[in-house]
Amino acid sequence: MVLGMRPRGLIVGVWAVTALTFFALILFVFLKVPEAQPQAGGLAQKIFYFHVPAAYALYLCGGVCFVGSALYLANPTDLRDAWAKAGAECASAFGGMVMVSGPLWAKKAWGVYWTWDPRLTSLLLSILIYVALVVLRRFAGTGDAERRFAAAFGILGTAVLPIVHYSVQLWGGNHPKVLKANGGGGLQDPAMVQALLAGFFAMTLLAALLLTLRAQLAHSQARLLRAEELTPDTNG
Amino acid sequence: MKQDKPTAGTVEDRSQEFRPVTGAATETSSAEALLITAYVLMWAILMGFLFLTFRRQAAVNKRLGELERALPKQSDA
Repeated sequence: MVLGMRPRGLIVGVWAVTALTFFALILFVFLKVPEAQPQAGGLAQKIFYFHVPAAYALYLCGGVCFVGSALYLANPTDLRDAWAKAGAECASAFGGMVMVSGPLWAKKAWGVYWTWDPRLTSLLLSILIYVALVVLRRFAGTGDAERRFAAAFGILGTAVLPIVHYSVQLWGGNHPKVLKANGGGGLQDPAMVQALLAGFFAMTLLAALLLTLRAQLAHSQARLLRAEELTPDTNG
Repeated sequence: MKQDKPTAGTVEDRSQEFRPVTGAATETSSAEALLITAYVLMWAILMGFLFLTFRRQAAVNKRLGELERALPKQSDA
């Protein structure tokens, strides 16, 4: 019980609910949710039921990274550092999911995989910050100075997220606003809205599970490092 | 290849429209192939992330086990 908060039955239960929700969601999306209009990508628009929740999960993990980093800077502890690190790692993973799925939809809807649209560009920047943070944590050592620098970097990465979110409203561009759209980007069938809400629910559970796993791992690694420092002759 | 300029009008108008990119190829890939590729890649990233997490956790647990076994030897000595 590394984080002091891991009732095993609860974790297994959440994994089970998450897996079942994703399974049901995939069936629902493919069997019940109607195809969108051609301007929205037609059949390819069904990518959105995972793409948009994955982007939301990225925000969630970025938020955890922000809170963990800020708390670490205020009062450094291994646990706070572990959550900051976990937030950055999970944000990178969800960012990867967003970045592979979005261009595949864009290829159908826009005719190109990528365009330097404000939303796409700002999101790419944000994900690159998290990836840089993960690389930094992996290779730059585990001293307090490195951790503090990483925490400041994590705060910077999350500070970009509001810019990503409001980039469509601020600067327009090609990227649709999905949730409140009346035009081509709107979800005009109740089943579409239900699928998207289920996607948000499933991704929230998944993000919580991944964050817990990675924070537990990061905390274990920190404790292992301290234990090895105390018993140097057991290395090997 | 160039993008359309953001449309004039209200912020809401320009943020709610799907607008095509001009100058792109008229024939695009099939929606089915793109959809399947997107789902496979997303799940592959997730599974890869989980695999790495469990592998690293196993390595940490193994090393902790080694340290625990070494401790009684040290205290004996």
